[in-house]
Amino acid sequence: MGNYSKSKHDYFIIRKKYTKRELYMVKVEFLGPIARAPIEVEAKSLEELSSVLKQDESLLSWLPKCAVALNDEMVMSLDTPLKDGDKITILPPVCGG
Amino acid sequence: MELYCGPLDVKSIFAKWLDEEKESNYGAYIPFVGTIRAENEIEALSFDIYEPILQAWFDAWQERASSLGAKVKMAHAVGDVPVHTSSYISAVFSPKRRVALELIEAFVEDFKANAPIWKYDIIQGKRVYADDRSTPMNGAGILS
Repeated sequence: MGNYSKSKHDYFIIRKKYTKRELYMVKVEFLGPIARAPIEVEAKSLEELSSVLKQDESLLSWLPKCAVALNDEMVMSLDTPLKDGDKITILPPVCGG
Repeated sequence: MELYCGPLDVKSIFAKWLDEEKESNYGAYIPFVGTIRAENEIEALSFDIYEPILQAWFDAWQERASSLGAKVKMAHAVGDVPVHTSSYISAVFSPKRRVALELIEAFVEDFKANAPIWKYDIIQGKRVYADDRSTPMNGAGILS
């Protein structure tokens, strides 16, 4: 109330908090025959990660047949939240033995 | 769960497993041997493995075997494995034969479908992904 207005300093603090809360960098590793170096992506959920990866044409033929692990545990749902520092592993079709 | 660089020494691994369970009082021991066949002009097969998820997959099977009073074992090769040598062996030990006979089938079939291992043909020195023989794992396609 009154004549309070935000200084440049206040904006800096607000921006800093906002940036910290919104940073969700995850590492994505591609296994076996996909033969790609790992990448870092900003994504808050697997759904967001899916949108990012689908922009890469070289991955489009792999994604429908690849399984996904989050921090080395298999994931069955796209509705999976991610946190900063998570490791996502993309696993193409397998054939052991 | 054991991983080896190159072809498996089948006889010595089976002998080791027998020795390990010598005093365990299992009545049945059923081994399975996977051998690389000479076909389609391949010189060898080659394998990539992602060990953290393979270990978790194996541990889940060990738990299932344990609930039946049984034990599973497996060994797999990493890298190149020439024809007529072995890339994969497994075994089930159980008190009686029926559990072991059923488990070895389920264990080997799920291994083919869900163990994180990638196979390549080696033809004239080139490493070619065995795309047509590979199976998408459970949950495949969620990102598409």
